[in-house]
Amino acid sequence: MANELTNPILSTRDLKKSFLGVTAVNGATFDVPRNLITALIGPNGAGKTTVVSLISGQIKADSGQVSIDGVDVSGWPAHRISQQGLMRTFQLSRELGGMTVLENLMVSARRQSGENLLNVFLRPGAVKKEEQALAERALEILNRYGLYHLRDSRAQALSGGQKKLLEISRAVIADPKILLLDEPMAGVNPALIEKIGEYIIDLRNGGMSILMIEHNLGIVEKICDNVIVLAEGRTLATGKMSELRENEEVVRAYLGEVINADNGR
Amino acid sequence: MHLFWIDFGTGLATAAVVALAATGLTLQFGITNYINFAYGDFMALGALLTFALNNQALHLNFWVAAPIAAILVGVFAVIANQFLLAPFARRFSNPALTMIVTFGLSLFMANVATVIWTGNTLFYRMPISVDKKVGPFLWSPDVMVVMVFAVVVMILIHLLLKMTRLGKMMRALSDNTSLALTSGIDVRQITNVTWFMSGLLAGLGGIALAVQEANLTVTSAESYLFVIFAAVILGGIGSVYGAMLGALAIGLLTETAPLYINAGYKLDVGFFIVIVLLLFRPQGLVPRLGRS
Amino acid sequence: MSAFFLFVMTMVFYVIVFWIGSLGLDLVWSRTGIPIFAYYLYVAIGAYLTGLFSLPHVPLQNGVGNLFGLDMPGLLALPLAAVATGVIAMGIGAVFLRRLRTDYLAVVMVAVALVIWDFSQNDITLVSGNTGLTNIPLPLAGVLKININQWTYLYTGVALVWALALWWVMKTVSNSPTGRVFRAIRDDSVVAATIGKNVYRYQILSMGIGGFYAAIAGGFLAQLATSWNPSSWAPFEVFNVFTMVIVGGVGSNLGALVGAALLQVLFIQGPTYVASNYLHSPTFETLAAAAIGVLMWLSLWFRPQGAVPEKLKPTKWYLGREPQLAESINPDLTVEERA
Ligand SMILES: Nc1ncnc2c1ncn2[C@@H]1O[C@H](COP(=O)(O)OP(=O)(O)O)[C@@H](O)[C@H]1O
Ligand SMILES: [Mg+2]
Repeated sequence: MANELTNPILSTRDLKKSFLGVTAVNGATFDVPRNLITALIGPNGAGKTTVVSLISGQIKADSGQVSIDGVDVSGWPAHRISQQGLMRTFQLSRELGGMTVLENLMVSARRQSGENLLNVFLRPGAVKKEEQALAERALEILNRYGLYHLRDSRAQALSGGQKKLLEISRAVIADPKILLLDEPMAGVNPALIEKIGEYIIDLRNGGMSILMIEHNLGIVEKICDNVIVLAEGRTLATGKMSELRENEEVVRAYLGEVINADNGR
Repeated sequence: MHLFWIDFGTGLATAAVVALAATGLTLQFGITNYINFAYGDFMALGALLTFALNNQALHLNFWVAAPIAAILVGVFAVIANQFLLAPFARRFSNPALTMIVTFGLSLFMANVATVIWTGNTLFYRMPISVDKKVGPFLWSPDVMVVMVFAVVVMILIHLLLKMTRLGKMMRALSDNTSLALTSGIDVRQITNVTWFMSGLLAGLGGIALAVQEANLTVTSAESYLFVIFAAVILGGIGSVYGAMLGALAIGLLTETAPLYINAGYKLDVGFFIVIVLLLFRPQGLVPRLGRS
Repeated sequence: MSAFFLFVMTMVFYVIVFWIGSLGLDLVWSRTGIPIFAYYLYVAIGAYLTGLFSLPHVPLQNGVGNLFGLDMPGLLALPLAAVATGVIAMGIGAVFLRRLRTDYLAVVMVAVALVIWDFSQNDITLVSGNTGLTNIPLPLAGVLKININQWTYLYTGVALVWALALWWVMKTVSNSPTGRVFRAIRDDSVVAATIGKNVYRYQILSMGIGGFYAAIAGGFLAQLATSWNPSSWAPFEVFNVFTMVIVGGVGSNLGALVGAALLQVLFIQGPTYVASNYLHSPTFETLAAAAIGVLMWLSLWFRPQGAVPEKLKPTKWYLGREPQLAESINPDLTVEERA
């Protein structure tokens, strides 16, 4: 445990962001340990999605630091942060709608020599071989996540649950060191929630580090090793779910409300 | 120095023309997410319909023909929006596609106008107006009427937006369409009013341009389009008061520029400045809150 | 008969040239998603540069002349002008794609084209203002000692060779992983950045290739006309090329040809021929130009994918054979989902 925390895969220090005067993130500071599943929880509007976007570089932070695997990536553009080994999914799925499911995966893979036009024209054979191998790999991943039969469909034609899986597979093919999932189970049916949970555990067992935003505390308790609580843009507490349930402040700020809401459904 | 003030005066006159047109363009942009590239042709339509009423059909007095023509352009704008632009904008989320549709409208209007009015230079049937000295400035009476008129129109627009219920609803719709949708505003009606005003102002701008230049052609407004863009961008796309200020700045800049550079480039000056400024302030000079 | 045949050849020439032009626009707009409303500016720059590269230097006198003329063979001037235009297009892209949001980008692109058009009317040191460039040599005509008719036939062949080569290049680019990145940027540039693609760099690359294609088209137009001036083009003519792409099929190389042929034959060159040979009045031609607007609206409304839609690449295309994994279907995806 000590080792996990002294050498985190991802850490943020005092991240701040406001939109036209509305403060969304106000000093988020936390470490995400290696090879574990960490949950990022907090009430609606707590700034969870914004934190993920700040980490992955879609939104520029007003201030604060982010480092991935010991490298300070603060202020880097999104594509460079991604190349540093970070992948993310979106709360509202963003598929590459005009491309096939297979292509959604293929385009996401790293280090493709065909992404340089010189290679396309000067080493067509090598590029072609690489493409075949990549397609095989993409098909395996699609098969693992049950999307194989949809490989040639336009991604925009997929259902909500299928798009969630597509986003996960698109991230997985890039083999990230750290995977950020923004509510990967929101709006899908209970059986699929179960499945996605298993997929995420499998990824961790394969050595990936995962930070996921999740509302359902039952799921968090079941699959997450570690929890970070965010409230009003600030880190409120971190620890195991069982410990947090004992934490008065956390229960007041968040858990009570969600538990009630869960019962209400 | 003397020459400077004369050019400054011409600049004020140009500012009047640009202000009329730029407010109309920016009003329309406030409620849509695309720019109407046929706007120059809306302006031309105003000037050409005035010509038709003044020289061809009813032989109306110019000062009677002009407002009628401008109102007709307003009606045309409402129709163009209802039956062409709005359906495309609803169907395609990419605003660039709707902008291409407005390009089509521009080509359509320009070519039909060429068939009707030929490509020749046209002149209004009105007494020749001689430049008079007013203080340090040199203006023709017609141009002075245009300037006074533009100021009155700007004040009217201000009163409309600030004082009337209609104006408040227009601003609400422009600031936040989704909020307006839920707050019981008749969006359809306000949209029509906005397009009517946009067309009306385009028509007035086109006529004012023809008066200022003392002639018109089917394409003269089109080459003025980027001057109007410059004013609109300078003021921040969608901002009415910004457009008025932008018009003043652009008018003065373009007309005093020939003192320092080749007169042929005077129209480009404003735009070069806008481009340079945009590179440092991509959100426009007067950023609008509430629009992403 | 011979006059008619010459007209047909000229029309074929225009179809080929605008096929090339549409291919470039298709790449930048349909496959990369950039609202490249300044595209016709690149056509014009290509035309001017082709002219300047192949004309001899004429010192400026009474507003006629050019700042530089390189006196190159026309066959060489064309690709060099296109490379130069590609670089200029990348420069314009580098400046404006960096910071501007889409609506400003669209307006600024149109405005830049309008401003430079205005500039070309006034500048007499570089492009001779409204006089423009004249007597642009017909490539090969002098060497082979052929007349203008024979030259038209010959040069239509040259244009065809160029078009086929450029078609192959475009096909290769769009089928490559690079083309796939372009399409990813078109579909969602935020996602493209998220998966590690340098969106800005690829957009500039796309602009450069598009500028090259535009310039080849422009260079051919200038060579056929042996002149180029501000009335040879207008920034809003970009709409015609957009129409070719949209009517033919967005994201389809063959669609670009269909669109170019349809517009040139039925709406541009055809009506011009009929108007000048039979009707002796330009009205018909002008109405045909107006009809292009209507054609585009109808096409976009009733068949937005165009005549030859963009083809999706199936797994087999990538693998070179049928995939061999056993079908696995995630049973949970078949359950009715909640929202
Ligand atoms: N692009 C934006 N513009 C303005 N406000 C935003 C934007 N994104 C988020 N916010 C605001 O920031 C706060 C945090 O939002 P978010 O990060 O989405 O919360 P969460 O994901 O925890 O529900 C909310 O008040 C939200 O309205
Ligand atoms: Mg969220």
